[in-house]
Amino acid sequence: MQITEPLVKVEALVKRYPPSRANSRSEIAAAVDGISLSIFPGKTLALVGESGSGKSTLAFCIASMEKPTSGRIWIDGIELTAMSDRELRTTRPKVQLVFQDPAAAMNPRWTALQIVAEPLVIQNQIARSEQLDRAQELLQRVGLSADAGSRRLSEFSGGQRQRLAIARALALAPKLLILDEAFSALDCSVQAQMVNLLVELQSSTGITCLFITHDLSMAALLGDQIAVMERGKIVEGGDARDVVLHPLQESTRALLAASPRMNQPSDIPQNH
Amino acid sequence: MPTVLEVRDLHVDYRDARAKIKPALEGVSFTLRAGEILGVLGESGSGKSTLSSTVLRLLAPGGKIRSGSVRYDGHEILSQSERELEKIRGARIAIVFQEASLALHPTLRVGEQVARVIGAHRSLDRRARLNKAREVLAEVFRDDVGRIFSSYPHQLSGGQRQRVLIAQAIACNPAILIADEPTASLDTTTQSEILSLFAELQRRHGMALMLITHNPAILARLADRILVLYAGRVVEEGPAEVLLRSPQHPYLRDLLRSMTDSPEAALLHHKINLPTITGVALDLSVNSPGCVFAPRCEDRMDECAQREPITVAVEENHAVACFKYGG
Amino acid sequence: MRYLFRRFLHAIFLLLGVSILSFIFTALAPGNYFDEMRLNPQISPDTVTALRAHYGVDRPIVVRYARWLSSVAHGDLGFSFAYNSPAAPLLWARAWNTLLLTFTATLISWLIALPLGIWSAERKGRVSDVAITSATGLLLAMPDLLLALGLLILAVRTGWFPTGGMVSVGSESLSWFSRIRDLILHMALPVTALVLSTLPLLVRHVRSAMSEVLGAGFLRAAQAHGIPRRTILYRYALPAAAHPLISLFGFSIGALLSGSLIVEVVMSWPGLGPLLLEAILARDLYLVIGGVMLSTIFLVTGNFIADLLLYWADPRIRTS
Repeated sequence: MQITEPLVKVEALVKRYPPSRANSRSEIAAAVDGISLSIFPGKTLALVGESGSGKSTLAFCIASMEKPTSGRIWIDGIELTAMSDRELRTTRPKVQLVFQDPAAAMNPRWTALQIVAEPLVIQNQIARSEQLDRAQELLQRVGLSADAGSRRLSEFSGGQRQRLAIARALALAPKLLILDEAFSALDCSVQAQMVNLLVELQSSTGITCLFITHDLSMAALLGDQIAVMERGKIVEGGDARDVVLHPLQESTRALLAASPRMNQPSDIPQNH
Repeated sequence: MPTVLEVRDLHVDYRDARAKIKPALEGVSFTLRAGEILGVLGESGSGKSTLSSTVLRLLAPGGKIRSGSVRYDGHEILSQSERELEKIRGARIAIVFQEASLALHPTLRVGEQVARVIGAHRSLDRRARLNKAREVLAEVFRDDVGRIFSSYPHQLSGGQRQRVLIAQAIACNPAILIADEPTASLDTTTQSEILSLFAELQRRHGMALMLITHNPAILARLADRILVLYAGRVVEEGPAEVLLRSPQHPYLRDLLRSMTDSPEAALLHHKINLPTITGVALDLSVNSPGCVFAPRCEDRMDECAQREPITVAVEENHAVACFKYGG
Repeated sequence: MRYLFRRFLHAIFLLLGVSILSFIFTALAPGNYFDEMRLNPQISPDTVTALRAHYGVDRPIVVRYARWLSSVAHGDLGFSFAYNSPAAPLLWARAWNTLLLTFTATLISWLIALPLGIWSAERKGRVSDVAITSATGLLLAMPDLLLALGLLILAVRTGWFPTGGMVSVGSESLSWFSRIRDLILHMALPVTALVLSTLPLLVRHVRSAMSEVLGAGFLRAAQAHGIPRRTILYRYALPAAAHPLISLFGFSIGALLSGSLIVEVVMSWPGLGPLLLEAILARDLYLVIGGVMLSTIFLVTGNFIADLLLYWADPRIRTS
């Protein structure tokens, strides 16, 4: 067994927000309270937690969109928490985020091609024509049709928009892809398609994923490892099999019990 | 069991800003019996939200009911006056919308919002209204009723807001409760609690419940019967257990196949390709003959591209619209 | 509560700031009342110098400001050189006249604008709405001056209304009832001019605030609960649209003393406007500052009232 270094290493991360008026959105206000984790290259860590558990805050810290209060984060051997703002700007492209509502982060007036090419345009390291070619390539990579590039956001369904978001996230060839409840708002059949897409992308590009969800079934499908988060702490973590089949913590057990099942006893008595 | 709602051959269109006609419901028929839980299974574009809006005759702007009938308690809803409908809405037929944060008034206290629904249908004085509102809230919130009663929506969590919507809907003891994606945007634990709440309320009040969702697992838990909508048409209808265990229509079969039964079952599919329904739902504004599911159907036959199948009974109470079974 | 206290302090500081600035600007403007006097051959230069010393015009500006501030604390707004009498009574008297006009006009404007704006928002895009939008657009484009003059011409041509002033000559001798009637006739045109100039803006704002709310989900939900249409409009939609309208209302109060200058001057209404105009031209320092401060007090009070109302109306401000 080859021992490799984790791509993502988080050590004793704490993020506290100053007590202020902005407390109606409990998810953002929740602190991250001493979290340590590792994600190995090419693997997926599924982070499971309910709203208010701090999972999005953790994602923001890892993506260096928020500055942690204390603790350390390494991406690909580079310590993010020791970098200046200027240096961070060069490492940010290594981590990309996909959110639950992709349309909120896309310009509705732009074509799909422009949206996907945007990161390349901003970085401006390759020629314009190459930027567009690469964008077109990405669109097809995520399973959109060849003519999708010229369509506008309003012409895409929810699942297609999420594909677009993933294509854009892949534009700068990131090492880590963070998906924050990215499939939660999609129809069931579309979720299955997206899961397949993600699995395929990971096997062909070797990209590492942090998949944040409140759905334990999704976590089991995608995660090599599962970490259960509650109130800013990781209460249970390990191989997906172990966490799902042999849960140790009460919270994990509660989540399993509450998960929707296709063959569960009906809530309604049978003589109904 | 007496029929409490009867929908016959409903055809509803939408006209978008460019006057392009998009059919939302085509020939939808079903009955809802008193005290039963009917699950309406449909994904985006299936017409499920249009269905609930039509039952209350509250179509979004641009919506037009072309033909059909919706009969409640002997009244034809589609021909009632607005005044008469105001008496039915919220009192006899009530709806719980999906986005709770958008369905509540931002600057009115929650208790007041429930009281106003009561006030619209019962002539009670202010104090009596508020008391009744408190009672209703106590039914959906186990504790902390006093605090919830005087809270504003932005002070409550997503699950709490959803409960308030439910309280508003049951406040006047309706005969029919329609829940449109009641657990969307909620966490797993909250989802489970809300579903238990629905079960409990249904048990206690005995109303007919129309549960609209895209997630079959929710219906597995609660529904007596299921109606499957695809592209505005009913493609299968029957007892919940039967449909979920042995689906007949290719769409339902493929949909169920693409889902994992539970987190434990999901482990078995880890990083293995899930069988999915190929392609995307078609653009309904383009009029093409033949079965709407045909482009994505594995069992496609020649007939399927020529005309639409009619609904055929495969068992008692179980009907499918597919050429495989006649039609 | 702390929020309100902060707004109150804010208001006080604003008043002080305005007083300092207006004092500086007026005092530093070239020329003063006494320079005009010097040109008058009938008054000897010695008298002028004596008067200047008497009024302390030669003192450094900081001293003058400090003295002014202390007298204001005693209710004394200074002295008017031109009228040769204390400034305060002059200002109050004129201010009352102005308020009579503007208060009436503002009340009428709001009473018309609310239902009209709501009605227009409900019928957005339809013929009736387009008609109202065009009409308000036209009125907005017309300068107050034009409106006032136009009405004046109307008065002259038809003789239905008096052509200016506040009361008719010799009206003191009339009965109480006739005097009221006389006043109303005199008020009619200036009020009309004011209403015509403020109404369009109000209608537009009400319409825009309402139409934003009309698409909201909670209105549809209320409809689904069987709440009658009327109730939804006035007890759900309007309160939700209150935020921008309350700010506008505060501004209406604020403009009570300052919005009618042109109309008053054109129609010879003895209000604060013409007084202020004269005083500025004559470099009548304390009258100018007194007038400006009075207007500012109204503006600041209006804003503060809006803050109070917003605090009361929007729980999201209260609970944060």
